Amino acid sequence: MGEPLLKVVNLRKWFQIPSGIFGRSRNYVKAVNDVSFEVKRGETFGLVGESGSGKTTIGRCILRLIEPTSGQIFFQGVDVTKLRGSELKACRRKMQIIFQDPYASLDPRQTIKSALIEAMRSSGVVRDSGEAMNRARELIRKVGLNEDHLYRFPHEFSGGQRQRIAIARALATEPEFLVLDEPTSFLDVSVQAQILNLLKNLQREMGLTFLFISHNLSVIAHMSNRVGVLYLGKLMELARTEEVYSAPRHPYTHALIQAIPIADPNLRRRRQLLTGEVPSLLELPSGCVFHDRCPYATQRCRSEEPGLVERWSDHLVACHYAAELDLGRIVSYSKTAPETKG
Amino acid sequence: MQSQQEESKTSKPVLEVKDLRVVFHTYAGTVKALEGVNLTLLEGETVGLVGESGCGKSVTAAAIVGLLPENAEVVSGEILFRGEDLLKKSSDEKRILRSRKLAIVFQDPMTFLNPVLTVGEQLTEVFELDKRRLARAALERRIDRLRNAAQKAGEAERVKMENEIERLERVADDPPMPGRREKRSVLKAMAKEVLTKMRLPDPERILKEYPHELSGGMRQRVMIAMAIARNPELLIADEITTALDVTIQAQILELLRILKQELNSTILIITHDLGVVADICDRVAVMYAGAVVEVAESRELYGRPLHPYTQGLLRAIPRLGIAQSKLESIAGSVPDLIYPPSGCRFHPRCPYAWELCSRVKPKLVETSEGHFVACHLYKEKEAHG
Repeated sequence: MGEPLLKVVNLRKWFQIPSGIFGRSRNYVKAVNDVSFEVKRGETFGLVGESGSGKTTIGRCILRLIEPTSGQIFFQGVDVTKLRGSELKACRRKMQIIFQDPYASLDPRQTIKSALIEAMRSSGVVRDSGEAMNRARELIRKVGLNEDHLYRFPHEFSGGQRQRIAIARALATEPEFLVLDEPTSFLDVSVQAQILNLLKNLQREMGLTFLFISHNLSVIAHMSNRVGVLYLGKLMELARTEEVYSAPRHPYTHALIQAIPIADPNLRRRRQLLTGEVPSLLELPSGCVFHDRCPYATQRCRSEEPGLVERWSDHLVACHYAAELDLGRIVSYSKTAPETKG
Repeated sequence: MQSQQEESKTSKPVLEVKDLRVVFHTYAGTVKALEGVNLTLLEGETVGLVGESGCGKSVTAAAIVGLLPENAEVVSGEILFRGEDLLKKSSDEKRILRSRKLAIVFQDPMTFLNPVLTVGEQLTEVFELDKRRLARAALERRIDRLRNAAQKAGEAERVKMENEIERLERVADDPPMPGRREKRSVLKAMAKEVLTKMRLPDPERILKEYPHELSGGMRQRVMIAMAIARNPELLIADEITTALDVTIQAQILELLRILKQELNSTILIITHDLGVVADICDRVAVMYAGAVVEVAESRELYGRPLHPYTQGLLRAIPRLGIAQSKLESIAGSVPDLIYPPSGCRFHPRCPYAWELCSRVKPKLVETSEGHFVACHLYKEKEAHG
């Protein structure tokens, strides 16, 4: 296994919201709470969670698009949170992000060529315009478009093509690490498959490292080597993809995976559904944040917060009872028995 | 389950959409949104209508309930609801139909709930429309109350009450309208009952709340409550779980499944997610670029998809548990419907397309019992002759 390229330590992001008369009293939306994980060189690390779980906030903190409240982020051994000015710029050249909405992430008044060249210029990866143009041509082919497309404007492209352009633009600075923030959730399944294949190919060819953020569990399973499951700004479980999907150890992960609708009527299952809704980030539950929806919660869960502990080799779980609970294997994953138990 | 399916085979169609063509007039040109949609829903059946964005699934729904935008024009076709053509009805008749027999729930409940009225106010409005049902419910409540009281009362009192009950039961066919106070409490009870049916916790509190105070999943339950409040004969669910998280989506789907059994209603589920329909539908229709390209019973469709588009779509979904180094995708993207491809609209993306496909539009034919497909690769099950 490679050394970690990215190491996030106790990352916390609280958004302050004014409340009370004159906004004097302080209330916080605790979007991310003490999240720690590592991304190894060359792997795809998946972050999965429902809306409000903090997955996007984490991605943005890593690139310092928003300032973390506390915690450290080491990229190639350097603490990103302490970088300023030109150092930060140099670091960002190696880290790029692809956003969810390909309609909003491209400047409508810029041709594709100038968007690509601007990225290369500002990051200083090219010496002259001839070299820039050559690289732009190479990039646009690499993402499956052709050179004519360089002279067009974003509105002339479909969603899938725009996402290809966003990928080309991200690659223009020769990054080593890409944060993919829901890169396919705006796209239809047939186009989604094209983009996922493209990303996998690029990763293989260029030795890229990905942080793949998505709410779509099937997509995460397809793309990732390891997965971290987020709930209300906390990591609930972190392990290799096969383990998370076939033998989850956290009751939340278990419920989440069982809730995935599967395009196969033969796998119609009796599912154990989670009751209730995701609590507000303003008033996080005491103890384990999942306790009020957890079917196995005890008094201890209500008062004492479980830490993310490595219970098995490379398998971290934040649950007091991870070792005792028998959640059963996920049938849709192993495809052996006709029905899940419970 | 089995008996239910057998039943549905013999039952009559609730809805038949026949060769529906709809165009939109826009500044950029005429968008040929629907190009011959054919769809049948039998009594008590749940049918899924799936397709990617822009394939016309929501336009089909809007046409059925008569809510097409002003720049839309129905060029040809019929929408038969219990044998009557909805397209020939006046807007008043359509409005009455919508309020009594057809109900639709949309993706984003916040757009359809009134933000300045409480859930209770909006929900009781629905019940108030049906005067007869309201009056009957009020009468039943009075009878119930009298019965309870009679059990506890003394001899003389009881005879008096029993006489009153008898009198009330005689007018049951033409119940009198309740007074204002009585009406209010009856409406509240009815609203509470329907919310309980939606498995909403603490319905009393929710009735007093405004839509913004509810979560996405709860709002969607309120919308479904409003839709089924009048026991519609057909319920259309247009992408109702798309905006929700997986765990909440699973809850809403479970609710639909319960409603399907309890009310035995006919449901049309419109979605882009092949997973959602696999879970709950009896039959599935796949749309592409304005036409239904394949219809079959769900097990059949997922097990033996015939149309190259359906095949591609199913292969493009990342499957859990199957390690795939590469997903199969469909080349190209959805066509521009202002200038749709000639012949079969799928031919520019189809791996099997030949010369005929670009010239002639294939008809929807039945290749085996209940399995329809619109593709030149397949022949009708009984060749003529």
